[in-house]
Amino acid sequence: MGLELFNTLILCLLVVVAVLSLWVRDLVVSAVVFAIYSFLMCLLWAEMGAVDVAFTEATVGAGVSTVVLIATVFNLKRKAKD
Amino acid sequence: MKKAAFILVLCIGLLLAWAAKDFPSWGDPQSPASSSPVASHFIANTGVDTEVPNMVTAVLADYRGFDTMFETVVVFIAGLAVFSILRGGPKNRTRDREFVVDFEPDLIVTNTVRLIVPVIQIFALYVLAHGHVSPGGGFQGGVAMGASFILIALSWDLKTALARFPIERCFTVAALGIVIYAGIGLLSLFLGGEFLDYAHLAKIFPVSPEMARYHAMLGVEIGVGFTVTAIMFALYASLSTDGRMRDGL
Amino acid sequence: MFEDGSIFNQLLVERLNYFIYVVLLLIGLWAMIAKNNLIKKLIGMSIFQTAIILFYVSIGVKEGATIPIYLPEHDPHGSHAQLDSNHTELLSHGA
Repeated sequence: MGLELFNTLILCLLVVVAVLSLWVRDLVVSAVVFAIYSFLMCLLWAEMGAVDVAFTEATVGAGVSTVVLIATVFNLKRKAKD
Repeated sequence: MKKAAFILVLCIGLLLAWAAKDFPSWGDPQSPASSSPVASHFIANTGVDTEVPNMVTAVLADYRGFDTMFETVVVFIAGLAVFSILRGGPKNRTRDREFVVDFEPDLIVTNTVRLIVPVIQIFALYVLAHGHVSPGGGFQGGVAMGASFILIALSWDLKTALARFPIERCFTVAALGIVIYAGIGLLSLFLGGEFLDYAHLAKIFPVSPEMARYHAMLGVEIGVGFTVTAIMFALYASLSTDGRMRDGL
Repeated sequence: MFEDGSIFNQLLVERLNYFIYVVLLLIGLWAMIAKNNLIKKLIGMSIFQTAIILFYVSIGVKEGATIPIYLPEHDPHGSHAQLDSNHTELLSHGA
């Protein structure tokens, strides 16, 4: 019983990627790093056995929401001040 | 401001971390979520009640069908809100764009997309229709289908995609999806059951009540798929052009 | 510091997953409060909500469990049951 190494690794990577997506100034890079966050989340959900949630995260989170975020940034200033 | 926010966030964090020691450890079969009577009831009864192997689909589309119906309505309203807010702005508003779109569609990209879009669409239909026996369903299939239209818009331009799927037709298709969903619910209401009580559909279709629930779930998923496909594309088309439906990304 | 029963052992070794959820939630909350850019606020909100959903899903995880889809031999009305009834019919015909 307890956490396996794979889950621990993904959980630690999640924190790193979450901080990174808020850290970078370039909003397109931010959106793409957030897609990596969604993909890691999808891996974690598939590992937990919640396959439907994993599928939804893979299509909505890593797929369409990245495209919509980039399409929004396209109409705004690309560089953020913080 | 930032310092106050940091202290507030830290206090909330300490409270939550203090509460964490009372929660069950990872993978504990005796955890409250796993030992509740609701979970074991669904595990024991979905196969008997509905013949659907995927319990998540059965709970989503049958036991909690009302919830999913209004979730679909929320998706529809979100698309409508984005479209009308961006469309209703001042007509000749000028924004400084970081990128200037002035290119011919690339030959290699467009030919690759021409090859893979049918595959994506067939996979989306498979996910939608096979949601009972494997992970998937209306939302996932609809998003994959919408993504294929977004891919067309990305590799050619938005005009090409809008020629295949006009923005007015998007909202017609989205409303049609909700009408399909609510229509199946109303049909079972008129046949003597409650709203979305699919077992009563067995009175007009030559199937058992369990198989009626199975097939009504497929119908409901098709309705969800219509709405999500259309709204995903409408969202992209509105957001990438600032509501003007010209010179997209 | 990490001996059995101490608060650090409880939090960072046995309940590491809850610690990570709290950290993710705080990152999202902090971004929603302190960032000025609306896209950054949106990403913070997504991180916040995925942390909460992750918490809900993870208390339902069971060690050694399968995914919530019936295998044919578990399904009372599935293909396996039909095979079984055919099998018994064949047997009764044979007898």
